Amino acid sequence: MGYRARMFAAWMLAGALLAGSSSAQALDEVRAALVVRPDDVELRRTALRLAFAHKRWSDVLAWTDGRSRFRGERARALFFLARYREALELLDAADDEEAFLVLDALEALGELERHDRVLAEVRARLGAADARVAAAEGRVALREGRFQEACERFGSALASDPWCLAAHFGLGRARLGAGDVPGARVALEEHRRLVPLFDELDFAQRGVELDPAHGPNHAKVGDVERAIGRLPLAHAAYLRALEHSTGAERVPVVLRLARFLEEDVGDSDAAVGLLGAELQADFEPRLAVRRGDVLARAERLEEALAAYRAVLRQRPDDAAVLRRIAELEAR
Amino acid sequence: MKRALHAVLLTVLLTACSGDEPPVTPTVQALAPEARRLLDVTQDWGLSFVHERGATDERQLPETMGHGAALFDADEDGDLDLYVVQGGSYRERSLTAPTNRLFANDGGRFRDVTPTSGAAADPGYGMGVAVGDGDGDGHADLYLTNFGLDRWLTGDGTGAFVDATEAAGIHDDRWTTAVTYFDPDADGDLDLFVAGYVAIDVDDPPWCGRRDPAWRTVCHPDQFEGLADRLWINDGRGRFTEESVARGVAGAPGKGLGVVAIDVDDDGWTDLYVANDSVENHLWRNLGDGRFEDGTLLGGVGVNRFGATEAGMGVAAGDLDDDLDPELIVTNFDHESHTVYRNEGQARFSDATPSFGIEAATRLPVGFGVLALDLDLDRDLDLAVLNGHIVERVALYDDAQTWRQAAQVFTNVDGRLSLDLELGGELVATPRVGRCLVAGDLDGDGDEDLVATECGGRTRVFENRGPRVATRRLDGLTIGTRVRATYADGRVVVREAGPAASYLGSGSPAVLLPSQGLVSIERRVPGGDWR
Repeated sequence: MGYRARMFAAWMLAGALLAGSSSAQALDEVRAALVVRPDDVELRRTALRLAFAHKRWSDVLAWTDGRSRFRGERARALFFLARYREALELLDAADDEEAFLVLDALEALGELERHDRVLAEVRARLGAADARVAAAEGRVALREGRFQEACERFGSALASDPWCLAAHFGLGRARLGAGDVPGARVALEEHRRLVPLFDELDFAQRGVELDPAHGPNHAKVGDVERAIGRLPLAHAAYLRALEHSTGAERVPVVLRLARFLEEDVGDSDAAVGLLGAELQADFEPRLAVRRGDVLARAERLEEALAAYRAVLRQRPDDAAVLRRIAELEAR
Repeated sequence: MKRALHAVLLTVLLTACSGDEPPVTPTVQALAPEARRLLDVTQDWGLSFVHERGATDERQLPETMGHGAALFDADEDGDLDLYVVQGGSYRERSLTAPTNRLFANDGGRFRDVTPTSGAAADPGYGMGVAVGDGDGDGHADLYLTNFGLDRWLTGDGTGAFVDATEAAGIHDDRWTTAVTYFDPDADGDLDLFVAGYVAIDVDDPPWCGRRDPAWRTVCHPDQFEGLADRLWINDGRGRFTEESVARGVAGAPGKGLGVVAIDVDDDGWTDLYVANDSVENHLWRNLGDGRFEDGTLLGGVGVNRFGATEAGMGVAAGDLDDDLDPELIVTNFDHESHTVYRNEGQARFSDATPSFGIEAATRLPVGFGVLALDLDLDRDLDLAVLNGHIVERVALYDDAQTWRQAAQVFTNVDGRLSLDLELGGELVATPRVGRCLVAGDLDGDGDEDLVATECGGRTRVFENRGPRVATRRLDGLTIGTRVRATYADGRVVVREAGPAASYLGSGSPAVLLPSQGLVSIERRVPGGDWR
């Protein structure tokens, strides 16, 4: 997806989820419906969401032409099409989200003085501690050789968002400019550690874009968010994965969510509850074993034994389960 | 292949040779009524080459990489000949497989001399090519990167080549791409850097894109493991040993597509910059003895100013802001922009793409071949870029994108680059699936002409035609020689001799300088002093 498309990640995901797997057909349907009901605002809004999800920019431009109610959608499409001068005429710098598109467009056009003026306005509104504001100000300070100020601004960005790649990188560059080579190395090494994870995240999110109804795609996003350390985002992704998973693909998703709940959230009860609910719906030995494992680690030994024995009723010779039972009984 | 007078342009060739001085060739152009522009003269030159990319319904990655080309004097008659790398089928090679082709320059027309070029007619599924005198016999040799076994071919100066891969100790049957000759240890012979791309199994290709045959698409390189780059060190007699680890060019494998060998920190030793696809680019700093350290982290050239990796394809280097050190330019994927890293000295760079003025114009296209060259002969370096998407049916996924995309030419005014449709002329007028772009003075009129390859399409010749400008061409310089030219108005320009690789290619190694007001020329060979 790329770093710039992250600006659109929420839009794309929302549209993709709305679109579902039969999205092309859905887009055709709303396109036809709009011809019949051109004044139906909600229909047009839905159509635009679908068009965004499928990057049908020509539709977005056609469906927003001359309709001030959809100024924002038109502005975003023009931005995505790199038609920055036209986008700037429509983008609202007073809107907290669009302000950053304005800043990016101005930077792309090389209109750096105007960029800096708009940034000052955004700072006045959102506050200096806002990670995006602080990172943008850090880049300006870096560009102008004000390295100490850049260090402070990037540091502020990281205080608000410890995963801000631009701030990690900028902090390293700023420290280097200020002559602090060891400090620069620390920041740049941390940035270097995070970069592949964010690239992996982009890749996983592309999978969701392609098939938002495929649960494992969301689980992959959850895995990467977990590795990055953004646990709420990981949790949300795993829950979306669960929502969209059926049949054989569901078990691995449940196992990953259970591991997340136990290891990252520290909520063994939630993990046990999740596994138990799944087992009630459909007994699956892997889930039962995992439930036993979680219970054992939580020192709920009798329940763990019961869980393992439930597996033995289906697979009486399962060596791994027999070993687990023996170990528990020895305790 | 004797040089002939071009129909329009009068070329006066004066060769000055004294001692070991390289030949200096002043050339004079006749007056032309029209403004300077690039004209498609493919037909006039009689060039007929169509790339076979081996397209299949599986949409495998090699199908979209395109191919390289080289401009060099294969037959040593004083003009630039053209070598074009061919694809074919990457699954299997046969006796009837299409081969790479060599075209001799017959003074304004290319003649296909492949049948007499020996091993230059390589039937491998080709990627890139590098040109240099690897065995030190005074004749150009070729290194061919393939999807499959690479080849090292020695030339005899007549346009004929012999496969000396095995004798040279070279063996690489991985997927290699960018390659360059250079002399990092300043021992007078040319070593080789070869970029590895990714490991794929063509017999078991993953399905990428929507699960609908019409929507199947090439896989993103994130899907595959990257391959290590290799550094082949020459023993001076054309026998090579792989020493990437021993010499420090090692670490996380990249997914290399572009390479430029250039002295980034002005210490007299040639460094390496590698554009990697969707992972961090690499800067390898020469420690002053042919060993390298990873200069990426402190150099600031691994990612863009947002700290994000980009899909590096082609790469160029040159002094865009006239401060006597080279910037690095990388072409990237859509929604990334091509990136210009400003050289801040001491091998430190900053992504100054917006300041250079190319950010907005390059965010939508997918860039490949790129050259920093003085197209309009005003002493500063302009930029020429070939674009073209990697996904043939990309409009299914994004209706703002097209498989064929227009090339771009940016002219430089005081360090600010602006799109120049007039100068770009017929190069930029027609969208194509652009890949390799190489430059050289094909018609001997004192300016740089271009050859552009197209993935699955025709290779084209673009003549740089315009008003009279006197130039001086420095031929025969050692690869990596830095040239400092001083003009009467006090302006100093710096160039580095060597074949600009762009993307998978190898351009003319000569340095071309406008000669009006030229007062002095100084040179420094790798590891040497100014003289």
